[in-house]
Amino acid sequence: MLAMLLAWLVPGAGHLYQGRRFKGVLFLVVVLSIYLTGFVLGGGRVVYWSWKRGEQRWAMACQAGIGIAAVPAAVQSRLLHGGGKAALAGGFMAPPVSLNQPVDESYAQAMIRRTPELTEEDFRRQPRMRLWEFQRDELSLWHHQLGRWFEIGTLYTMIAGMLNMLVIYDAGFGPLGTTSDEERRSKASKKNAGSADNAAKAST
Amino acid sequence: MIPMAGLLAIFAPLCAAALLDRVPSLAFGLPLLIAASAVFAATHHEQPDAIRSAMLQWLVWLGVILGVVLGVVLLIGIWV
Repeated sequence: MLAMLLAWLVPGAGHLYQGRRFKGVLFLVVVLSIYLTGFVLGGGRVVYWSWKRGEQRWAMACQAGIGIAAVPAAVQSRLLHGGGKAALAGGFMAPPVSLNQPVDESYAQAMIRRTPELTEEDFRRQPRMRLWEFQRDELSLWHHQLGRWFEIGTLYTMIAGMLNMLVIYDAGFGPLGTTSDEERRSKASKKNAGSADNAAKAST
Repeated sequence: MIPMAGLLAIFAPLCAAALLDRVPSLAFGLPLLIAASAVFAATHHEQPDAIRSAMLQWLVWLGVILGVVLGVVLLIGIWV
């Protein structure tokens, strides 16, 4: 169980813990490189957690398979939709802000800093509160900025998460049940030996 | 007379370049294909040598299956 948990947290860590170094390093390099490639291709915007009605991010169900690399997305979503109305680290892995969604003043300014298309006029200030209501749809802006890279990045990160689910299974239950070449050869040689014995008995 | 290998060496890169130009997703699909083959092979075998040979087999299998699907989609795209 510990190996499976480690394999979920960091791809290949479960195998390294079990002393299966070759497979551990292979999974670490392959799965993480695919995930990071997708993350970079998608401009760092493709991994986020959103279960708001009508804005569910179903890709996250697959991306979550990558473990600790997807955990900040859950934290940021909780922070942005919680009482603070602001995400940490300038919105790293935070979900997009939707139309009329109130955000904290500091987070609104962080959004303006990181998105050249946005100005203070894209927000409506609520009187006597430090909340600003967003007047545009951030997800549409991301699609406009990134184009097809958003989809390609999403695909890469989803596939990395799904591949890591196989890695988790392998860490817990070993290789999937297929016969190896050696097993096939030994079975074939036993069969041949058996048929040779039968032929010898028949001839006597 | 130009040998067959020579013709292949000339035309294979041209065909590959034309295909990549027409289907850009092919270039982005290849790393995923390699990664999937490596993971599938490693989740079916334990020994490094067996993993290496199984990875090649998976690469061919997945490449053929996805290549056929891509080819059919491409033909439909051209035809329709």
